[in-house]
Amino acid sequence: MPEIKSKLDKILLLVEKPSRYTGGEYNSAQPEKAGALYRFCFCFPDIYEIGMSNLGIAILYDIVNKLPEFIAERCFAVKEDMRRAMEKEGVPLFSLESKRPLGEFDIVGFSMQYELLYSNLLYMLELAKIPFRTSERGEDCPIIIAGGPCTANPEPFADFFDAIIIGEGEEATEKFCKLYSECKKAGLKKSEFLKRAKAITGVYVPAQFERGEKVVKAAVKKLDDAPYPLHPIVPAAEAVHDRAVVELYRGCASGCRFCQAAFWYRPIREKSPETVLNTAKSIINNTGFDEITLASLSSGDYTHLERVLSELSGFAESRRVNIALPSLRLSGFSGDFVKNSRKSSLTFAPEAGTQRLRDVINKNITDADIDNIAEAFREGYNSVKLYFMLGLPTETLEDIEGIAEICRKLRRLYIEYNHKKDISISVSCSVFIPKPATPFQWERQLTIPEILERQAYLRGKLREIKGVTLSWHGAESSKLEAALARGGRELSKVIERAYALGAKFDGWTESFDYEIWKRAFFECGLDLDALTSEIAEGAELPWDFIDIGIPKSYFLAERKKAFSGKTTESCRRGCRGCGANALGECSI
Amino acid sequence: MISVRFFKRGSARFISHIDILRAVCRTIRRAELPVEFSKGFNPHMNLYFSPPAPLGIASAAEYFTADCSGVSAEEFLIRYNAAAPDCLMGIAAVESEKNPNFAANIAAASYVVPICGEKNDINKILGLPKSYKLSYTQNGESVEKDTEGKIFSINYFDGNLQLKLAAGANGLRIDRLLQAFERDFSVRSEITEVLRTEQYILENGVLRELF
Repeated sequence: MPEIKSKLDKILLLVEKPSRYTGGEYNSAQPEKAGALYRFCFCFPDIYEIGMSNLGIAILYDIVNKLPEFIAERCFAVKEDMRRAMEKEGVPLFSLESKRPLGEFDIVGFSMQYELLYSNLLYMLELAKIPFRTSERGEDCPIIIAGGPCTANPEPFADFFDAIIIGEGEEATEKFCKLYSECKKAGLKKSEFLKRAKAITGVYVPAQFERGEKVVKAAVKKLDDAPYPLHPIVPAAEAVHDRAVVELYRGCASGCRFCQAAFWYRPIREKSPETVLNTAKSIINNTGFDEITLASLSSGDYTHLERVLSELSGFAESRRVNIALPSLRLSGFSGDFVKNSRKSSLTFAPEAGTQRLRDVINKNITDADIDNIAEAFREGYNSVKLYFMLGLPTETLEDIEGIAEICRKLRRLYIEYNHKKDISISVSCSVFIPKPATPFQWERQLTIPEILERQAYLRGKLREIKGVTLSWHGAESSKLEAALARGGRELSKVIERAYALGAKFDGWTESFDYEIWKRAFFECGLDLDALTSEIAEGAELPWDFIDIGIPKSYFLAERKKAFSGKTTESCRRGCRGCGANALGECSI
Repeated sequence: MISVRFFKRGSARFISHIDILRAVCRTIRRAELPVEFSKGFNPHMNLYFSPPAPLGIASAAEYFTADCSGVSAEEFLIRYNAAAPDCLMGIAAVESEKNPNFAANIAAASYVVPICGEKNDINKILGLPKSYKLSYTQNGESVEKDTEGKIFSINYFDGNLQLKLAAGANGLRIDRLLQAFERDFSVRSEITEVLRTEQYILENGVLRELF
């Protein structure tokens, strides 16, 4: 550490944005603590600005730092310039707080946020000089664990981890740390500790897993009682989401059939308005952020939204804090909020261009709801951002044409209301990726030529409308994301091979190289296209061993409804019987 | 108006100027100090900074002025420091009627730099000719600049160079000067060990230390 610290001074002058690597931010943990015996490093396999925007890490960092025997630190993936400088000076990957090599920690936890970060996991392990596979790591290596949404199917990366926390990490991480301390004091070996850790809800130990076993997803019972960081770290370099975040609730009542988060974070658990208000005020007081986000999967649906907004607005105004409300659904779109907030830009996600396709995917918004956007035009907004998905099951060219139709209609309404033509509509179009733990988990993904063809069709259609800009997700990276999302343990060797061939920062367009991945799949004897084709309903799925509270039969029934164009109403209008309340009470 | 002199040290040496502005702003928000905001579509806090020390250099003489009334300079400093990160701690504060406009008026800054080198080489630096040609690399290209009128004094004491250099728009950057010394006189110094100790404004033709 003193050695790394002194070398760092020299290195930091050579790299872009050195404050990514200095640590010492306001509210970050002190590197020493009286009585602390163990160190836990939270790793995020992308750069500082992205990782510091992650709420999960912030919550768990706070929890572990509050354990008297533990100190929690952080580490992010370093950019290429920093990697080169570190390599030249012989500096291994280190934590931001104590500048300690990752290899010297007791527990190292990786946040697995999405599939294109898998190669960066190996990148970070290599920089830390830690062997990739559990089977190659001895007693002297830290316990390497994972968490995050990708644990919905952890099999592609299971071989790299000693343990994986499936589901929400709050309680499981705390229990895991306490058990570690007990086992360490009793002089137990790693394997013995891990054997005991399996008893903690949500903990999956891949190397000790036996066929037929089930791992129950961890879910916080009552969100009001769950720990939440009131003194989050204030980033030194501007983070992507550089603001205070208060969670309103987890889960989603809408049940869009493509959406993993909606089902993964069930049961639906709302925070009380008192908790939300107190948390929001404390965070603003303790950080000095000038913006606060009321976060959830669909903030407009929060039961107490009106009360929270009205009680928070006075405080926000007096403190010059802007309130941001992301993830508004068109149907739950709050007119007053639009009226009173700063007139910048509105973002909505119709996802599909026609009512027919929206019924298939269960995006319960209607053409009339889309007309609602026009309400915002009356209030002075002139910029709208719309999210769509291409390649949804049953999609036809007519549905794509529907996207253009929506844009045309919005433009017409805007001109009608404002007698001006200065509207800007920005359409962002991703590619459908069948994800585990959704009713569409069996679906095929479009082939790359099909994706390109439909993107070109949409581009042509939108080009005819003034004021519309289109951005889209890459066909190849979407294909890879789908393959990595649904694969099994055999993918670990593909990830290793791809990394060896140079894959890293795959989530960044400028560094993503599809040829590398194609070659890696080929060399490992695996067919990338096969992994993204339709899966038979009766087939065993790599993630079948996880009990997320929602049985397969529910997903199958939803899938059937999808193909007959039948929607499932929001849980807020009555329970749909998905079963998730077995893991905790639905609070709506 | 209240002006504050503050440190930029430790990890703050590596924070870019724009991120320092943000950090000071957040400190003032935490301290709930009544600083005025601009009036416009995106209101921002009315803060005015002195020219920033280059990246990597520590400073005990950074300044900002806040458009603020209703609290004394003393109270401002106490409340600011209670909310400030250690690396940006305040040192002193004064009140003024008008904005002293540090960005435009600061004319010089002094630095202390630990330096290693033969006595002979150090003497060459101390006896630097008036029109020393400074060459350095910028964005991979070699640039030459005349330092005439930009070096006010150079002293050497106990292993340290003490320099007073022109600052502001026509200033001389300490990091570039040290880069040139290293090449021309075979002395060694580390940018990250440089400390900016004072900043000065020009008043009736004389450099005057700030508070």
